[in-house]
Parts: sequence; C-alpha cells; structure tokens
Amino acid sequence: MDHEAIPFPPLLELTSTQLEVALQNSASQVERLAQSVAAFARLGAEMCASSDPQVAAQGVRVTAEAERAMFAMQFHDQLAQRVEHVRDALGDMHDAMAAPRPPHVEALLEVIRGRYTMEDERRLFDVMLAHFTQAPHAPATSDTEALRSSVELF
Amino acid sequence: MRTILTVDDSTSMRQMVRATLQSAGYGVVEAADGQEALAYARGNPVDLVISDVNMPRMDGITLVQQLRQLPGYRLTPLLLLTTESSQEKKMEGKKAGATGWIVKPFNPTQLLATLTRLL
Repeated sequence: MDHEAIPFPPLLELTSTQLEVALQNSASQVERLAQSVAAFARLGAEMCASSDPQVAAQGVRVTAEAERAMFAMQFHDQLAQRVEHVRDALGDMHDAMAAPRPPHVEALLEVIRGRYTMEDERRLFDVMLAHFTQAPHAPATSDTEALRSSVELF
Repeated sequence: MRTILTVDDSTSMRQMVRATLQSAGYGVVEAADGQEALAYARGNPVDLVISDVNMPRMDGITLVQQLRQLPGYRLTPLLLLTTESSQEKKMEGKKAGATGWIVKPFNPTQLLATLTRLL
C-alpha cells in the first residue's frame, strides 16, 4: 500500500465528526432516560413517606433500585467525556498534520494529555506512550478502581 | 427548606443530583456552568453548592474562588463533584476554598450523608 496516498487529515476529520454525531444523537435519549430514573427516585421517596407500612416498605425497595440506576447512569456521563476527549485529540492530530509547520510531537502529546480529566485516562496515555513522553510506567486503572466513588472533606 | 445549587454542564448529571437531593427534602436550583451559577448566587443565597469542575465558560474551581469573594458565601459549604481525581487538582480546589471533593460516579446515599454532616 502506498502510505503517501492515504488522506490522513480528512480521515481524522471524518472520524472526529462521526464521534460528534454519535454524541449528539445519544444526548437527548440519555436525558430522557435520566428524567425517567429521576421520576422513579421521586416516586420511591413519596412511597417511603406513606403512612401505609406496606407502601413504605415497597418505597424502600424502589428507592434502592432508583439509587442503583442513578449510579449506573453516571457512567454514560463518563463515557461521553471520554469520547469528547478522543474527538478533540483527533481534531488536534488533524490540525497538526494540516499545518504548514507541524508542532513538535511532545507539544502535541502534551495538548492531548492536557484534555484528560480522569486519572485512568492519563495512566493509559502514560503507559501506551511512555516511549515518546518518558513518563513513569504507571499501571492502568482496574475496573474496580474505575467503579469507586469517593468523598473527601478538606 | 434548605436550598442547594447544583452546577454541571451535563443535563443528565444535574437530573441525577436533583433527584437525589429532592428525595431527601432539599430544594434544588440548577446552573449549567460556573458563570450561570455565579450570576444566580450574586442575588440569591443558597445553603450549599455542588459543582462540577470541567465546564465551559467558567470551571468549578474558578466558581469556588469567585463565590468565596461574595459576602454571603464565605462560610457556605462548596462541594466539587467531578470525574477528576488527581491530588494536584484536589489541592487546587482546596486552595480555592472548596469544602470537599467528591469523585463521580457519586453514590446517592453517600452524597446525602455528606450533606447531613455539612448542613
């Protein structure tokens, strides 16, 4: 295959646009789903406040299920953020390749890494691009770590 | 009724936070970014603020800094709720005046327990 003939900039732009369209198409449906889960949680709270012990007991179960659904729903938010970071990185690569004077590879990698907001994104970047960035070889976050939420009061 | 201002550019995240808070009897006001939240806070006192960090127009850490300049917000609990978990960013939040840092995904029961401690 003649690598010189591969049109990288338009392909990068196309891939970035495909991701953008996927994000936009799913956004309204996810908002609808979130509304339903929120309504479910409100219903659970109302049932818990009932003077009828049976209804109140059912309310506790509904509330627990709604809480599990709310926790799970937040992973879509994480997914959307990660896809946005990939989309933006593709845009950065497109701009670098299309520029008359491309930036130094380290500068480009710094811009891409700087877009990340999650620790496991940064770790993955460091592990996979250690050769280019001289970053310490950190292990990728485990599935268990990614599921952990934490509260820290200062 | 205690009122909480929740700030996030994700509509679905705001809905999740709103549902959690309303189920515990809190009043909820929403803003889509730091600038909108600050504009609301200038004319309306709230009992607590829960804000995302990475948002367009004004991020959560800048919002915390700006809120701490307002007379009515010097002692108000300001929580940052974010996917960001680096120590460096947490320290930025603490230095700006945040009361606490919660990493998403949040656990509704854990969030409500935190609010009970602070209010």
